[in-house]
Amino acid sequence: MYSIILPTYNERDNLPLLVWMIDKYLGAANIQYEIVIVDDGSPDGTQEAAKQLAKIYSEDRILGLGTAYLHGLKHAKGDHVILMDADLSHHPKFIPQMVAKMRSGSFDIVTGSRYEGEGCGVYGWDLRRKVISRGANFLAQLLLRPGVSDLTGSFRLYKREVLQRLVDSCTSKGYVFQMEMMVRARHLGYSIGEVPITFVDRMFYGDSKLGGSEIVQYLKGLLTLFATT
Amino acid sequence: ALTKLHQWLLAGLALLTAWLLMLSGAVAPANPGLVWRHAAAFLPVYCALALGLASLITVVYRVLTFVDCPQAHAELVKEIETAKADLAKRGFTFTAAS
Repeated sequence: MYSIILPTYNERDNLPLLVWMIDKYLGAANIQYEIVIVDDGSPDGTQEAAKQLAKIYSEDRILGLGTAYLHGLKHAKGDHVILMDADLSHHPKFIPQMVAKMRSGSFDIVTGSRYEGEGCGVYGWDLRRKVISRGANFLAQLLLRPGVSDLTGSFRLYKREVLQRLVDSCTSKGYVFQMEMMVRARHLGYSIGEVPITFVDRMFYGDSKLGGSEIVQYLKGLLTLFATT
Repeated sequence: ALTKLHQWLLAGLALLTAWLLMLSGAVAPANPGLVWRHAAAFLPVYCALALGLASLITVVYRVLTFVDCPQAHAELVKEIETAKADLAKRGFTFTAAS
């Protein structure tokens, strides 16, 4: 069974749409799933939306929690876990592809890649965002040689025990956490497959999401990983 | 296993040793003319410049060939409409704004 853990903050509008799409695409592919919604105390009624969805889709399949990120893992019942963004930038239609990839390649982890593979792509990124993304990725590839094309991506399928082990051994947060998981996974000998995905950025935060301090955090995290792994 | 930092330090040490051997004349062609001596002396600089240039070209190329997917956005927008209608039918109440 596949547990989809969705960390949410103020996703009252996107959450129902995402759940609808998960049900549509995983249902069509006959994939047994449950959705664990981990809400970080959203003031916009996200938890109330989660309750409504549990009634519509059955409380067996939708669980809403109010705890911090990844404590959802304790409550997840599946033997596989999918982590993805809850703002519709990640499309559930790629989940069946990840499942198939994991089976055909016997991978421990399958990660979505926005950068490589037929059908990958990004919508809504301006030139500045693309430059920062490619530059940051280039640096990470050069320093860490991770063997994964999209290091900061957050749309991934894990075997449950693999994710548990990684979460227990990683210490960083945000972008760097995503990188650290991939790097540690390789060190622990786990195999990682990739599936090209499209990333639709509708948020258009512009500068606020990738400002100077975010970049500094990223570099600090990158250098820490460089020096310790 | 060695950390990446250690690997880089080792590689750096190996390159440094090679360069010092070149400078000291221990590794040199039979008749080291001015060109060779200049190249040997400035080798690290030239290598750094070459690497910097290669990196820049690589990143520029990757930015230019970045794949945009407007069709994914268009499909998503359509799908959202379908989803909203279906959810409303099944009893979901959206907020007033959405």
